[in-house]
Amino acid sequence: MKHLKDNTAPIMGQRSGALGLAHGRVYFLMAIFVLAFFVITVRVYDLMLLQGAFNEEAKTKLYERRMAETVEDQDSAKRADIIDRNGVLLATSLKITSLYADPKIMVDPPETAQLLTKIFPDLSYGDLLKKFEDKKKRFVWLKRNITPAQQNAIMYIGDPGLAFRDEYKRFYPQGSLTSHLVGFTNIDGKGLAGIERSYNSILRSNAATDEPLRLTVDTRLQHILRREVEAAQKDFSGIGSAGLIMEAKTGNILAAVSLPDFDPQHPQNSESAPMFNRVFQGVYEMGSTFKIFSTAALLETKNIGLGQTFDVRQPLKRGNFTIKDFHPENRILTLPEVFMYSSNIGTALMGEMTGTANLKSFYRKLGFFDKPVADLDEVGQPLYPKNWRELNTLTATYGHGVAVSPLQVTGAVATIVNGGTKVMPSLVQAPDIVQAKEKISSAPRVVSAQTSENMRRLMRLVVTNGTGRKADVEGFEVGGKTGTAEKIVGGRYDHNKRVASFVAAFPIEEPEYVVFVMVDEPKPNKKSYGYATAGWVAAPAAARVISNMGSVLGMPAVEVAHDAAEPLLQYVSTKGGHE
Amino acid sequence: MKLFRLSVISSLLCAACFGGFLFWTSQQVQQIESKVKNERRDIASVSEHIRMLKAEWDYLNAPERLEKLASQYLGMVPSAPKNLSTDFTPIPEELPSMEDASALTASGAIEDDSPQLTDLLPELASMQGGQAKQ
Repeated sequence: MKHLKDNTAPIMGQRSGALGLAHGRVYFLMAIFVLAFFVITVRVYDLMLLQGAFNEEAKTKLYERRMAETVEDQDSAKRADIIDRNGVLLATSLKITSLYADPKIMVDPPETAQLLTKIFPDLSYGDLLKKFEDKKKRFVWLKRNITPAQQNAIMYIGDPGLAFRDEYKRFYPQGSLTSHLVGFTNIDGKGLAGIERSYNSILRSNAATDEPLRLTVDTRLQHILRREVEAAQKDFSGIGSAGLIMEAKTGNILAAVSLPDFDPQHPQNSESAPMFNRVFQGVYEMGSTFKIFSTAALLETKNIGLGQTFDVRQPLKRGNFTIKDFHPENRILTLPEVFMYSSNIGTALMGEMTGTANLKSFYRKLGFFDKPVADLDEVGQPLYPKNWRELNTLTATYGHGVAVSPLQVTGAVATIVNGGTKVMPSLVQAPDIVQAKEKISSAPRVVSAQTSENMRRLMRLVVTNGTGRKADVEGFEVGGKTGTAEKIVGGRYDHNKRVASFVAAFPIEEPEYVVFVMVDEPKPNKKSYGYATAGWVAAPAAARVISNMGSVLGMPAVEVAHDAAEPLLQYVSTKGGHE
Repeated sequence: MKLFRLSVISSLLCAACFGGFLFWTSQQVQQIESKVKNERRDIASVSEHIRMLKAEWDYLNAPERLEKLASQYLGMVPSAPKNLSTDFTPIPEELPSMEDASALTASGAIEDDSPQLTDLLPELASMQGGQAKQ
């Protein structure tokens, strides 16, 4: 504006007023433009530098969104991987192609349908024609999961109404090995069983970031357990079997097998029974395995020594009910002898000493009256008498009248042997190890360290001198307890239908692992001299599992100077040696 | 009123320069964006391929399959705990290099009485035979 003044004569009067007004307007406009540009500059600075360059979060979000757009998996069935503790894939989503039709733009429906039936013999001509009939529809699935060769053949048909869509399909590289744990999904990628169902929404939402869900399972141990449990079931012609390996301190489930199992890739091919998870869902009267808990209850609640004796010469009569021993010893037994010979009479007498209230509260502490929490939705509700009588206390000491799942038994044994603190079984690995360790150290105490030690010695005695001798593995001090329970058929105990189980802990001095093996309805064979009891059926299988676990986990065989059961030998008379 | 003042010319020039620069930048951005998009698509396709290979790897390495192959072609059986040693003290930290060893042997400083592979072969054969019997 300055030059205007320089080159022209001063303007005065009315015209000067008009010029002043014009000047004012020009300045006003300029101010508005300057302000507008200033605002834009500030905004650009904000977007590019403040929000762009320094804001990492926004950048990754943008990147992820872009990636997702590129992959075009907004509404597809992609799910996060499920891996074992060593990173081995248990379930993964892979891209596959599916065929759909757009009837509106289809040129020659009859011919297309005919050609399609040639490529896919399982599609019917009439059905396809009906699908193409509805011209209003723009989308009809024709065939999911087609192979590249089939896709090529379809492209040769050349009908514009045939189109492909990429989808994700779930694959289980380990096949049926982990079928009950991992579960399966339907064709739209919705989890229907196992981890796939219990963690459905997390697996869906983690798909974009590819963050896998890590389980505590070790595929190698899972294989060993499955192999040996299957062998035991086959040897004794059982109708089913179950196995579980758990870390004694953490409760992490390293392997869990339920047989028969199924192929998660084609779950619809199997009947409903193989889907049943015997480890988590099945509840069984465990029989003598429960003597671990009733004996621990007695040692914990009453101040008695291990030299305490029990008269088992006569069957125990209470009311109309008689408790007998499978192998009557016909003499007075000490507490360790009752445990190692698995005397029902002796254990029932111990139950009387413990008292109903004490035993019930002890079982409650071990979680036998509640549904366990174990990272899977499919867990069985334990069964116990609603109207608990004195007689129930006696039978409950040797595992009759109370039905729990193998998961609960293994967890409770881990609790007893690990020093006495409550173990919470888990299947999904906690990402924060420090936090997980804190959780273990703050776990509530169920039995004292002294009781825990006594129980470990007793369990070792069962393997060195008692009913579980076939479970011994040279170099690993194995302790355990056999359990053979008759099944209830039509409201009565059937002598020929049993559940044989063995629960082992090793190395017994400071147990790291608890192994559970169970065979449902084993039948005697020649090798077992007509026996189908736990000592013949389940104990050898447990021994084979433990022996193989050692080499996988790199645990060397150790010769111990003093056996854990040695301090108990003074209470054991060697006269009555038998199976 | 002079139309072509230096300030006017310079500001017009400046504006033209900035305009040109802006155009060039925007073209660059578009090019890079399309490149990035292609790269992303490639990444997605490669990572999809990796996913597939990983699945195949774990499928082929399934313990059941490995065990079957090892027993079928190598005659291997599951190892027993007593076969496992974690005591590595008998194994020396570092062996002498081949040149040093042969020089030492030639000079007679050490006597080479270590068993040759040919001596070991019958032993190995008998071991394998024993395992096959198991």
